[in-house]
Amino acid sequence: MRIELADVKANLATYIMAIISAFAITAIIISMLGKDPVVAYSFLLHEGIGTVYGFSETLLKSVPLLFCGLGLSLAFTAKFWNIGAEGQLHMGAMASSWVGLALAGTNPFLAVALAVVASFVMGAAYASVPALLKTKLRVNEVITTLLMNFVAIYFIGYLVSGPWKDPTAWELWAPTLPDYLWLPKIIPRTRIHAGLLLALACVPLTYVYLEKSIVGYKAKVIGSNPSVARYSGISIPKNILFVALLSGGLAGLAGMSEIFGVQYRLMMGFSPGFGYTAIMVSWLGRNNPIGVLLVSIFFGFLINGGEAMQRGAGVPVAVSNSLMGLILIFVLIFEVIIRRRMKIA
Amino acid sequence: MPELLSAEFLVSLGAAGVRMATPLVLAALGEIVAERSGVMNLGLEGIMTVGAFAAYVGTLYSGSFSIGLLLAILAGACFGLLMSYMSITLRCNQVVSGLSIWLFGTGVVGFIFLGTFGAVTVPKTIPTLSAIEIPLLSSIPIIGDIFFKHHILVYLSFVLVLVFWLFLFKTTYGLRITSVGENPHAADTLGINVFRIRYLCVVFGSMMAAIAGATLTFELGFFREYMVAGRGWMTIAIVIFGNWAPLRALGGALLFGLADGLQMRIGALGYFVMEYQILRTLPYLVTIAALILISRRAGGPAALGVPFERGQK
Repeated sequence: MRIELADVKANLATYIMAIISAFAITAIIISMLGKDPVVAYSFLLHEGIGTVYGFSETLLKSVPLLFCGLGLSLAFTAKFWNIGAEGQLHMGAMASSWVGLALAGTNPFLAVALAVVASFVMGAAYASVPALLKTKLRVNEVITTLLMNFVAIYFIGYLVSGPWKDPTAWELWAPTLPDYLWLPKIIPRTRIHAGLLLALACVPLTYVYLEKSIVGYKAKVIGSNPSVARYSGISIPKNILFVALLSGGLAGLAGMSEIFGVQYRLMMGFSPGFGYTAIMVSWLGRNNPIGVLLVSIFFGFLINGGEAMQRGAGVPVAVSNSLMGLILIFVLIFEVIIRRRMKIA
Repeated sequence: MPELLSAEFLVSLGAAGVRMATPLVLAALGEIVAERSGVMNLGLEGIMTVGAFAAYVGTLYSGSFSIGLLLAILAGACFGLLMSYMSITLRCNQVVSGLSIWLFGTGVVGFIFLGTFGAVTVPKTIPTLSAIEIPLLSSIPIIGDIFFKHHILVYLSFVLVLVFWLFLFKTTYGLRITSVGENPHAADTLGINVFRIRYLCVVFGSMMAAIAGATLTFELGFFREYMVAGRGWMTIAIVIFGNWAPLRALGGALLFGLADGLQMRIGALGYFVMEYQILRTLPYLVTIAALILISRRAGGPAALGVPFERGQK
């Protein structure tokens, strides 16, 4: 991978300007809502990165984003527009919860390991449906992956309010996993769990896949020029299915990590849209694993900081979704403008 | 469940289907125009949410549906301009531009809604549009109850289907739009301003999406953050299902509206409390099934999704 200085300069300028603009506009909205943006942003900074516990919460939020974002960057590289990470995450969570509860009482390592495998397989299987529909029948995957999110979420709603409901709890959730199956905390007095390590391990794996492997190279060719891929004998259906499986599997791992590391039980609404946010994470990370890692930490900071702004300054937690969306829009806009100014394509 | 087969239930189901089809029809007409000009606006879900919220706020504070609708149209136009600027002027990837409009639209509305009204369980309500019974037609048995006892926007959507059909296929404007979406370079050589037509189509399509969102608000009488619930995405499916033509899109919208109505009516019977969550997946599954069904002959404008640049082939 050759890195041009002008490229780096253009990217840096784009991201800095986009972040500043997004924060400026959000500050205006915050004051229009009758709150103080300075107070809000100081809470964001303080509890987002200013304290050890705050930063640990930021990292905690970035774990599912990292899993899903890495997966999506694989799919997006091949221009398979998987908008369904949210559903794949839910299906992964469902499978892992089932395995965890079914194997409780057996060897805990085996139970957790099988839960990991089950979540990956289930997420991959769920992503394989739109991939097959696209390659076999040319059904638009943007719509199918997205609509399948609703199906997955409502299906889990059905499970936790019906057949899987914990009979001892008033809330609509599945039975709690026994604590010896919980992912261990890796830093004392924080909530950071071993899921972070698993997610971090996926960064170099994804990097090697994309940059050093033949399958990754094929995915890139398919994404940048499908007709070249066809003429050079690369099987587009096979490779699309392959990235879709990996992408769905990684999203499934995010579900497992949330259930075994944070929530300890399957329930409705356990994900505040991690799968949707991950779309922005992988695009802003330019489908590059290192980029995805950086953006997922930054967005984890915005999600965690959004909660802090709600607690401290009364700004609704939805501020973070708005901020992230604005950053994406501004990056898309400034990217073109700055590159035109600097006369690089 | 004797009610399921009673005439009364089937009529109420039909009426609910027509009512739920309305926002889909309105949004689909707008998206057909935009896509025929060559721009796929995937931001619909966000723009519908923005429209629904603007209509809610406008109506709540002014007490007038027209002001609410006007505010929705205005907000839709703003988002349409943003989408146009990104996808037409800057030639950004249309999929990503659309996704960014969706994510920002739903995000900023949730933010402002919760910031203004708080996380209340019972939102402030606005009056709902009252039904107008069409004289004579509404007294036809069954048909009258299903089609002719609705609020004004339902009738408007039916009329607009015809208007759009005439506009797209029987006027030179419609042909120009189609030529821009099929072969922008040829259109450009003929002196058609590709940029202007695409801008107009996308902004117009976004206004229609906002009206569709407003319809949901007027129907329910309140606003909820996630009330659009995938209808923007269903609209995009309807446009494909309808082969980019208004009449067939109407058919698709009625089909999905019926699926939506079915889950609502069965839910309202109160037999299935826990299975209701399963029923809610019905409209989404029907949409996917419909796309599979027509997949063999799906086409679309030749230049759909391709940014236009003068002098580049």
